[in-house]
Amino acid sequence: MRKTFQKWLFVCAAAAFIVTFAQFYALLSHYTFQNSEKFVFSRLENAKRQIELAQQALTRMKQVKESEFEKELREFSFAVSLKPAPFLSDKQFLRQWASRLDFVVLDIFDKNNNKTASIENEAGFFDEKPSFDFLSGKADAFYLEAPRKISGKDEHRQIQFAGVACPNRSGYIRAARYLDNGIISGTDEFWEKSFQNIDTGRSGMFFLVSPDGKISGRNQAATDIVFPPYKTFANAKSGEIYSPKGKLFYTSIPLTEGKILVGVYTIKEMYTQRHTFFLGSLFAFVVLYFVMIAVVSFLLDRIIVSGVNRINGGLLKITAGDLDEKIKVHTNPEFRSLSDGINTMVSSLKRMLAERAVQVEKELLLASRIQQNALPSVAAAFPDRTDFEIYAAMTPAKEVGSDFYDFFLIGSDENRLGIVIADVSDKGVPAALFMMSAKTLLRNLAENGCEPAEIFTKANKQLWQNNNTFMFVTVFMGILNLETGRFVYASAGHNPPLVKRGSGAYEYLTDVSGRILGGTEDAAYSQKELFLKNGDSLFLYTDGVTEAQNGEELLYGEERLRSVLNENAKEHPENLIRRVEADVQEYAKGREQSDDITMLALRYNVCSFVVSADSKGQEVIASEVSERLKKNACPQDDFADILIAIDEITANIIKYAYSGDKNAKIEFAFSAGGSSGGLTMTFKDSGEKFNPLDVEDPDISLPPEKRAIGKMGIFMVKQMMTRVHYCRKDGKNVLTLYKKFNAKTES
Amino acid sequence: MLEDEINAVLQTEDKLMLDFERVEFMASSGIRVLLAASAKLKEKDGLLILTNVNSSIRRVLDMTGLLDFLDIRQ
Repeated sequence: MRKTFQKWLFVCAAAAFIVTFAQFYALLSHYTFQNSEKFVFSRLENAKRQIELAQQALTRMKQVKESEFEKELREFSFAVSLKPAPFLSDKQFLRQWASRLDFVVLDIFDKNNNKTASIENEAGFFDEKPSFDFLSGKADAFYLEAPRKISGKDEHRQIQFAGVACPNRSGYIRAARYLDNGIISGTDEFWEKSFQNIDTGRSGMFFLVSPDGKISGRNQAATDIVFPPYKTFANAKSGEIYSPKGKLFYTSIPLTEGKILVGVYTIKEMYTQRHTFFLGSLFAFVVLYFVMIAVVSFLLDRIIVSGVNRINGGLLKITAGDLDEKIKVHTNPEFRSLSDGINTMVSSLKRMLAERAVQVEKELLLASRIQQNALPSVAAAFPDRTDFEIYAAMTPAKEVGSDFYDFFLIGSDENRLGIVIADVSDKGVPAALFMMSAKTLLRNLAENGCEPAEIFTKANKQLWQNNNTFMFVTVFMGILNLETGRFVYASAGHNPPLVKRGSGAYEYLTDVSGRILGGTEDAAYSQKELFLKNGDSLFLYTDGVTEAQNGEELLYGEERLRSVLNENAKEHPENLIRRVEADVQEYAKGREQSDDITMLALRYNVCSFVVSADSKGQEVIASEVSERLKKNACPQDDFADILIAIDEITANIIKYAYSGDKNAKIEFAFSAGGSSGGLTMTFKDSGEKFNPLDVEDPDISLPPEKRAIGKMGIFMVKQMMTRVHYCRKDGKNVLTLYKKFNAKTES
Repeated sequence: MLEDEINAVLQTEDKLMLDFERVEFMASSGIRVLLAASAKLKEKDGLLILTNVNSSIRRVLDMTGLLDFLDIRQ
């Protein structure tokens, strides 16, 4: 703003300067011209005065000369009257006298007006008689003629005749002298003489213009000046005349005899004052204007610009996020009111934001609760299942996270378990919504009987179609057949999970990888399978675990995860996850969690084997189970019941299923554990179809002697086991017994 | 086999005491034996006593409704 102001100020000042200065210049020109005119004119007047004085002097000089002439003529006449003879007879003598007295004509006349002597030879050269009548006039009468030129004599010079009567009226003498033209008024020479000594000052030229057009100039260098005719000067006191060198200015003053004294000056001389004055004042003007600009600029800056800048500074802080910043620019009432206005607006904005934030917080909390409810709860997720243990935890970074896990039983016989872990690309509520729809999609596809590769292919297409927000999700998914231990799995760009087999250590499963879900329209996925055995574990996680940072911004890393798992390999899934959580927390040392941390741990507990359908096989079964039960701290009563059940069932199978076939087999599988503690056993035989549950219960109210033989065993098993289930599958009888430890017996 | 032994004894005796001290478990086959023995003795108006029956066996007898019909003593 400052720059704009200064620019405009400068522009306006420059414009004002130009206008003022142009006006000033015009005025100055006019004034200096007028001044010069006056000056020139006064010089001219000076010159005129000088000419007049000179002319007066010259006239006086003529008078002196004339009185001298008279005096000397009188003295000569006296001298002649004293001794007239030599003068009258000796021409030489007369000429000597004439020469001495500068008489150019000298004639002596007698009283009868006859020329008795003359310095001239020829008679009649000048026979003119004097006009003055000396004879009748007074003695010593004197006459003086006006000077004139006469032919025969030097025609360039003026001669002045004078005559004086001799004493006693004896005659008269006539003489003539040259009189300087220069002292005879009216002559050119007279004018020139009086013109000679004019003080012209430093420059300028003076000319005398005569009515006959003659121009005489003191400075004859002005030969190329074109002089206008006389009447121009007569009409106009001043004006312009031209010369090839440029315009000239003249001013004139009339003199006597119609002559006009003209002073000529170059235009430059006319404006000479202007030039110096101009330069001086230009400098003063420029300085003045600069000072003015500086002062105005400074004032504007102080009053307005700096105030605006301070307000801007405050606003910048506010827009950067500091809503507590107050603007306090009070230099003048307008700024004060602006400051107050801004502050009021900001504080009401702040209040609105706070209210909004509280509202948003509430909604986020609600969303978080909804989301938590959407994830399958792990606490006692499958209380009666002993064939696997599962635990999962998701700790969101913000109120609403975008990782998810899922696990669910598939099939009407619930003999398959699907496990999913996923990480949605974005964060916040939109990601959470995307997450929930992806989760539902995957589960639905799995429950429809698809296997992971197909699930991903279909899910990817679906997610891509509905995806206009460019979100995507990485997923690892597997389906475990709980009976066979077959685990089939696929990955869509997700972190490879870890698997622990047998007595080995946890290793990363890196043999599947695929594109993220929802990224492109078509993506192909492959799946792999492995067979889990009793005690094998899987550990699934998202990158919130491996990418957790510590104080030095180093990552937790895959190796550390693997070693923590191996250290706690014997723990059941819940403990395992808690241990990993604790280790990550310790590693991060209080640094803020930047990503959701999600983990899912699964342990497969099913031990299955095949025995021969005889007492030996029965023993094997019993001993395996006993061993496990002892490890699992099975209560004594439950232990007894289980062994009895094994005895009954196997005896049943041995006796009836194969009708004595010596090579018959029993497929036996069992698992112990589960969140509530228990044992599950599955007996499979490929004998003829027989459902023990179809057997009627014996009437136990009858006394022993009235009892029918048989049916007791099945009845006992049904009583002792928490749950008994039979189905015929793939040509086999499948009998499943489940015994929950420490179950309260019904009275 | 227990059944054969009991049958042999019952041919001559009419009082039978079975000591279960060293019996941990009894399955349905055992029950059958007891039922048969009990029935036979009933014919003779004899006596069947069971001793040192552990909790598991006791439970089984209870479950099968025989607890009330048998004479169990310590």
